[in-house]
Amino acid sequence: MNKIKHLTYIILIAALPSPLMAQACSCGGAPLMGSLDLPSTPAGSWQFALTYEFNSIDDVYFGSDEIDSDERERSVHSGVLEIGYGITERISVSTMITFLQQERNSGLAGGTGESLQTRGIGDGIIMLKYDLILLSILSQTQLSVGGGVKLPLGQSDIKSNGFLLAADMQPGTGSWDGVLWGYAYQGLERSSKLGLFASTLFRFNGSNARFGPQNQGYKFGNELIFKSGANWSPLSLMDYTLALRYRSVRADKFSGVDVPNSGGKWLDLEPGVNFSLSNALRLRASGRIPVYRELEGTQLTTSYTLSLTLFYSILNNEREFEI
Amino acid sequence: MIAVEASMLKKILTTTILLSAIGILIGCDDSTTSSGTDTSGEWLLPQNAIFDGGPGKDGIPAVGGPQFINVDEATFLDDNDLVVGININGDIKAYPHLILDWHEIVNDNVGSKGVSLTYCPLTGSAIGWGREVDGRSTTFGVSGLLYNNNLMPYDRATNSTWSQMELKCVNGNLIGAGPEIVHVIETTWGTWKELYPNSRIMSTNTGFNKPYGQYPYGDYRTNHGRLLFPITNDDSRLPRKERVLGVIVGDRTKAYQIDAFDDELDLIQENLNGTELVVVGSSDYNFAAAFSRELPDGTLLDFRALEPNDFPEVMRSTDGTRWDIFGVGTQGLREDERLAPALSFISYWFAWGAFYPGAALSSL
Repeated sequence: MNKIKHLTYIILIAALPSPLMAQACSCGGAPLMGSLDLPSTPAGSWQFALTYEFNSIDDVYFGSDEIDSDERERSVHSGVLEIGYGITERISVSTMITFLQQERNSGLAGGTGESLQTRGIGDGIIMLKYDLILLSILSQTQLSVGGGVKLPLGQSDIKSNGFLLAADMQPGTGSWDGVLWGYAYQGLERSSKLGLFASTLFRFNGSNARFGPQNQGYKFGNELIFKSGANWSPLSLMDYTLALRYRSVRADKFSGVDVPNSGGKWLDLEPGVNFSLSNALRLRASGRIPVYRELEGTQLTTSYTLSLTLFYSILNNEREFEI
Repeated sequence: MIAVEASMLKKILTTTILLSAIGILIGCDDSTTSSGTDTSGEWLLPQNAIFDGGPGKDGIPAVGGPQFINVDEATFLDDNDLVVGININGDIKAYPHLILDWHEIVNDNVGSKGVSLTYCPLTGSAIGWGREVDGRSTTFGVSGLLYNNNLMPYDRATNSTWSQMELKCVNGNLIGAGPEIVHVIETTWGTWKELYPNSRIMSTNTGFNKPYGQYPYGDYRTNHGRLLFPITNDDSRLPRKERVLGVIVGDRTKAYQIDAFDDELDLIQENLNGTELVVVGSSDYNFAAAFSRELPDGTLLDFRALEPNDFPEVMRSTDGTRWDIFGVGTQGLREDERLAPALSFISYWFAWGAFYPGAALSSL
C-alpha cells in the first residue's frame, strides 16, 4: 500500500505545472508566483524542488501589437528552492527562497549603450496548505487550498553608479504581500497514466519605500495566475505535461496613481517532460511559449523561458532499504 | 544482508542538498556590474534624486539624419498634434511630438547648423541644442537617467551627462558647460500649417518601426496626479500638467500659462530681472514666445499684437516693423533683423516648479 501511495505521489509531482517564473518586468525581479509548484505534502514527509530558469525578455509590445525593438534586450537567470513539509494528514507548509541575476543590454541599435547586471537574493514565500480532498489511489482526486505571505527578503533599492535602478532590475519587491493558492488534480485512468490539473494563485501586494520614506511608495500590481493542463505517463520513467497559463497583473502604483506601461494579460503554453531518476528523485525540463499578450502601454515582455527542476521527496513511511 | 537505517542516509543527503542550495543562494551577494558607461566623478545634481528610467543608455534610440516631407504630405498628423519648429537662416522645419515621444532626441542640421532637438515626454519640454561641444561637432543620445522626471542627454564626443531643463552638463569632462540654446517654437500642427505652409516636416520614416501616433504613456499628459518618479519640489500653485512658457533671466524665472493668453494673439511687456521682455502668445493657437525688447544698439521697442490672419507675423513694433513668431522682422524699418529670444521653453508646470523653485507666475 505504501508503494502504491508512493507511486501515486510521484505521478502527482509529475503532473505539477512547471515552475516558471513570473516575468521580471512586471514584478520587480521577484519571479515567485509561477514557482509555487509543490502540492501539499503528506504528513511527516519532505519535498524539495530546486529550479533553474532562464527568462529571455526581448519582445516589446504596445497593447497586443509587437513593435520593433532592437535597442535593448533583457534576461533573467533565476534559482528557486522550495521546501514542503507535511504537518498533518491534511496540513502542510511550504517555503521558498529565490536568487536572481538580471541582465540588461541597451544601445544595440546604435550609440554607446551599456551592459548592466544585478544579482542577489530575491523575495521568499511561506505558505500553509490544506487538502480539502486527499489524493487516493481509488479516487485519483486532489483538491488543495493555501494561503501565505511573500516576504521582502530581496533588495529593492540597488543602485548603479549611485542611481537607483529601475524596479525591474531589482532582485526583490520590497513589499509584504499576501498570497492565496488553490490546486486540483484528477486522474483519468486507474493506472494514472493520464491526469488533469489546475492551479490558481492570487497575490495582493503591499507597497515599498524604494524612493525613500518621504514618498508615498511604490506598489506592484496585484497578480492572478491560472493554469490548467494535462499530464501523460506512457512510460514508467518518463511523462509529459502540457498546460495553458493565464496571468493578469494590475498596473503598478506610485503615490497611489497607476504607473503607465505596467500591468497586462498574458496567455502562455507550457510544455514539460519529467524523468524519474529514482523513486524519490525526478527531473523536469520545461518551458513557456507566449501565445497571446495584451499589455498596458509599451512594455518589454518574455520571449520564452526554459527551466530545469530537480524534485526530491522523503516520505515518512520508508525506513529501510537493503544493500 | 546489512540493513541500514534508510532514514539516516536520507537525512544526510537531504541536509547536504539543502545546505548546498542555501549556501549557493546566500553566498551570491547582491551586486551590480555595468560597462559601457562611466558616470563616476563629480555630479552637479544630487545623485539620490537621479533615477534609472528603465530602458538603459540608448535604450530609447535618438534619431540621426531625419527625413522630411512637405506640409501637404504629412497626413499622419491631426491639427491638434503638437510640433516643435525651428527656423535658422530661412530653413524652417517642424518635428512632431508623436515621433519625438518615441525617440526624445533628433540630431539634425538646420540651415547648415548642427542641432539636437531634445524633447522629454515626461516633462513636456522641447529645447534645441547646438551640436558643437568642446570645439567639435557631435550628437546627443538618451542616457536613460532622469532627474525630476526630465531627460538627461549625453554627448557622444565625451560621454558627459547633461540635464535638459537644467541647461548644463552635470557630469563628465564637460561638467558645468552650458549647451548653445537654439530657439524653437512649440505649437499645434493646425497652427504651424497656417504659419509656415511651405516648411518641411519630419517624416515617420526614421529607420525605426515604432507605432507613431500611439502615445506611449497612457493618460500621463492630462492626469495631474500621475508622475513616474519623485521630484525635488512639488509646487501646487498650478495643476502639474499645465503647460507654461518658462523664462529665465539671470537668477530669476517666470512662468506664463499658455491657456491664460487670449484666444487670439495676445502679448505682455514687462521687466524681468532688469531685462525688458515682450511675451506673445495665444491659447487658441497654442503657442507662446518671449523676446527681449531691447535691440543691440540700445533701442527699446514697443509692441502690439497682430491678428492671426497675419501669420507668421504675430506682432508689430511702434516703428512699423512687423515681426514673425521667431522674432524675425518681415516688413518695415527693421526687416530681416532678429529680436534676441529670451532664454525660455515650454514645459509642464510641475517640472518648472521642480527645476526653478520660487518661479514667479504671470498674472495674465
